[in-house]
Amino acid sequence: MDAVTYPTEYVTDYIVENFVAWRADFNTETALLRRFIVNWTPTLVFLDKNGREHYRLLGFLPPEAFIVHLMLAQAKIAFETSKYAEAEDLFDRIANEHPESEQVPQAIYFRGVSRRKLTKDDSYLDEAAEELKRAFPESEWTMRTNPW
Amino acid sequence: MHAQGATTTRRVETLKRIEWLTGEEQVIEQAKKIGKAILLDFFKAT
Repeated sequence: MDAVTYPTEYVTDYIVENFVAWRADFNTETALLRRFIVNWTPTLVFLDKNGREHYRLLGFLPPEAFIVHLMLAQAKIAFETSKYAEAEDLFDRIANEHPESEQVPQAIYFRGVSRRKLTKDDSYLDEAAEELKRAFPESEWTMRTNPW
Repeated sequence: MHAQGATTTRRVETLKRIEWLTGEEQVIEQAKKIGKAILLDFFKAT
């Protein structure tokens, strides 16, 4: 991550603009390792401003894949702290700005849920399910919409 | 015939660096102060 991903300009910019960056040494921070149940590196844990975990990544990712996970982490934090408009915007950006990403089906799923949460309008769930069936028929995220 | 413009725009950019914090109290205080999420990276120093 230090050699390739973090020094990439758009990754650096995104982290600087959107996160407080915290580093813990795997060899010495044993209390944090236990608390966050970490036993491999790199492990990245995404926390809200109060220190509650909402998302994590394990293993190296190249810049083009990592940037999507940064957005996904932000979106999950917004979603799980009931900021549905912010979450909807971030999930929408993932789907539209990174159409090649493996995370797009998940983004479409949660964009639909965020819109439903904002409006109480179930048609947003139908819309998300239809889009997933059409564009990603084999995705697990499409299967998750079956009850809708 | 139009005169050719000779304006040269020179972009001066400040390269950003990730400022990694190491103390939990400082991290939480900063996150609350500026309202940002936290990226906690467990890394192996080489």
